[in-house]
Amino acid sequence: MKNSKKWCIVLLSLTLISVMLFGTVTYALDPLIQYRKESNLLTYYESSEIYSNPGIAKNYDYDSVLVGSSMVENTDVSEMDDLFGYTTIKVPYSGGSSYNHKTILDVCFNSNDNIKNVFWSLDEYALTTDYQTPRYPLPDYLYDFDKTNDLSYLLNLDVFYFYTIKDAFNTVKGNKQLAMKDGSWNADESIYCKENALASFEYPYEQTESLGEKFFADDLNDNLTYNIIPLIKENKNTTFRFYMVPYSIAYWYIEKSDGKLDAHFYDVKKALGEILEYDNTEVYFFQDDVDIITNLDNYKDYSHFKPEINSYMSKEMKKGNYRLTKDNYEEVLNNFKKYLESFDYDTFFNEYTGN
Amino acid sequence: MLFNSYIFIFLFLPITLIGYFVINHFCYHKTAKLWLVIASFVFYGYFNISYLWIIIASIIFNFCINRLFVTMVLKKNKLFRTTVFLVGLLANIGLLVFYKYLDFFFECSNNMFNTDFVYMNLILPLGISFFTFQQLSYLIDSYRRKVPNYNILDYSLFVTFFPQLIAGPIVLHSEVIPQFENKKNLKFNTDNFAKGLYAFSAGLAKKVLIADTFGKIVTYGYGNISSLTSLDGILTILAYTFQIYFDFSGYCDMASGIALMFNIELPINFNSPYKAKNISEFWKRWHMTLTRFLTNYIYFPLGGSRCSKIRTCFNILVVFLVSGMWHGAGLTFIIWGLLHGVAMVIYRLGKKYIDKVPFPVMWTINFMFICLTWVYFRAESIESANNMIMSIFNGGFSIGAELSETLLNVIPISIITNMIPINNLLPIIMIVIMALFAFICLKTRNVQEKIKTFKPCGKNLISTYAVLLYSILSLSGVSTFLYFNF
Repeated sequence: MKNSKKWCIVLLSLTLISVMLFGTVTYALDPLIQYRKESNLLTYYESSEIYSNPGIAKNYDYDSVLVGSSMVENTDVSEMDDLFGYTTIKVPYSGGSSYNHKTILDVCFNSNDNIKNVFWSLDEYALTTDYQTPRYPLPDYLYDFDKTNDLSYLLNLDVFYFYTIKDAFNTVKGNKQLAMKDGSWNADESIYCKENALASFEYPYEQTESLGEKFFADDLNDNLTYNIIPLIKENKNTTFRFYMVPYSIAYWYIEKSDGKLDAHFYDVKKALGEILEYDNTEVYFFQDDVDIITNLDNYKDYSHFKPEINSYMSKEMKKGNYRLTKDNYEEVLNNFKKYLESFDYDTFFNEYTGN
Repeated sequence: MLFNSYIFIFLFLPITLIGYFVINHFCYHKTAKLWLVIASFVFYGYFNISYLWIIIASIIFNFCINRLFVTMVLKKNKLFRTTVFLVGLLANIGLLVFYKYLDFFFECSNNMFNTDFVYMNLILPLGISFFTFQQLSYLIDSYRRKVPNYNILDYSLFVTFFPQLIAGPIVLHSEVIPQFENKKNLKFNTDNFAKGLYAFSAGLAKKVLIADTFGKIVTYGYGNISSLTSLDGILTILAYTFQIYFDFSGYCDMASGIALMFNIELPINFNSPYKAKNISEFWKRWHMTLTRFLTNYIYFPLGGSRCSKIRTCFNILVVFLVSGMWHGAGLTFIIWGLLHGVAMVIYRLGKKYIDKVPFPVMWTINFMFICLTWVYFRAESIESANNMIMSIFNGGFSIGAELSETLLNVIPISIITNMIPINNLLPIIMIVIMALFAFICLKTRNVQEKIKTFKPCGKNLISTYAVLLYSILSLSGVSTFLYFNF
């Protein structure tokens, strides 16, 4: 009897002390910046958007936000700040759906009531996925403001192993810090070349009949109604600068081959039409810059372009170029669609591939 | 509320336990029972409060029906008695059908007869299959005059006692209620508490560390059937075999551990089922309280084995059809049940010869049969189950990129691959892990056996501490994901 009692007491106290100690260490080092801005104790080496973005949104000082997909991961926001005079945080989601963007913007607006500007890189695919589904499951306990579920973060062995230890290790080794705010995705310039761009898809692609304009209409409508328009409406003092980035001609070839071109342009037209109804929005359209999109040396695959293009877009937006308005957006989209439909893909790719 | 949650471990369990024994200490035994019933309702309602009324209504209804059996009119009038019994039976089964099977029946009807029933899309109340079966057993026993006259508090406690409420074991009133009456059990008992902690920790580890990790392979595999290599396919099938066992038996170990902390012994539900050398033995070791229910309340009333050979085979098939249906509403579950039923019939007919086959051969055949039938249990449709089995012949002994990424995010595997820098180590590690778990299932003593001989000592203190801490720190992981284009 006495033996059991001692056994239980030792087990429970040991477990409790260990758990508390563990939680304290995570709290002190705070690898996912949930409690304070990047501390001086740790070099924040490991980061992943899904886990780091909510901490950045909650704890940084900023008055501007950049959201979007992997297309804007290479953006140098310090440069943007020099141009526009904002202090911007970058919270993109690779492959993110508009639900991702809405979720992180909600965190931003709930933790900061001085947001003057949102740079929102709009991809058509993000408007046509289910409006309530993130691209990858989100750790909800990092995105809400509920203190009671912080245990999921504090007592998390995976966080400890994949973030705390690695960060601590890099701190000790004196490795260079990847500032979360400016962290870029693919800094290595050498990967941007036509060989890589061409290797990322198969040519020729099987041709499919057009899916019709309204193929994604229901999802599009939900995404606009629940994930985009309410944010614009509820934050009248914030300027929403939407911009659409230039995918390579190969991307359009795939869209066309998959029969998605009609639907794509219907979606974009509908979305921009609704967005442009509001005074606190601006729209910039870089997709029809044929000099960029037909030079495959700008790309590392059929869609991702080099950081210089990000930089170029920042500057052009500042100058007010590439801007769409209520009056011209339909014409610009129609012209670009015609261009894509009549483009001689075979000659273009044969020339590139040397056939 | 789940056992593997912070709120249960750090808040609910300690408060319920302390409250129960403090109230009992001051000899308010009825109040202590009420405390447990209320705690159990909190436990049940925590997940979805709107379903609390279903279980409360079900308990009150069944209690009233059972009460009617002991009234004078029903004691004497057989017709009345049978009518009340049938009403009770139909109401319970009706509740289950309404919530669990209605959409399935609609779907079958819409597909076969072109009807247009609109699906109800109801959320299944937690544990409805368990508490309905438990109450059915009580109803049948009550009809057969085998139940003493319990009051509403005892009856509620029997149905709702939270360790067994949502995933079994399916207990009989005679196993539990007398234990709550026993004076010896009303005082906190450190021996039982130690055993309980041990069983709970082991169960928690089985669920959180083992089953959930295998679950990652399973989720990937069943989500990408068309692109699996042979090795992926085999790993997925084996992973589910281990996942379902460690998940379910881990849950039952936690349940029995928690019950033990209250000095209540729950019936054993899993007795190393993968040690079985034939299908009949498997069902004597797997989900034993369900097998007991089906045997006592379906197989025997149908005539059991005391009739012609053909009739016995028919009875077996009926039992397994019901078992399949009980596990889930869908054709895949029916197929799974029938496959096991047919295997049972084959075993019964060829027992004389089958029992002579050497153990290793028979065990292998049986284990493979169980693994393959689990595919139907897990797959979303019969077609994808077939595809999953066929994926074994896809060729290729590498592990797909996405699955590799998932596996490398499992801490122990990540540590091993970081320590041994050899290319293509992962397939070897996975094969070793599967072999190791097959060995564990086949050769080691299970938690229930270990509890029986449990003596507190330094060695099991350290192992319990390590396992408990590791499990608690793994309750919420970091989900893995891959970067794709865009």
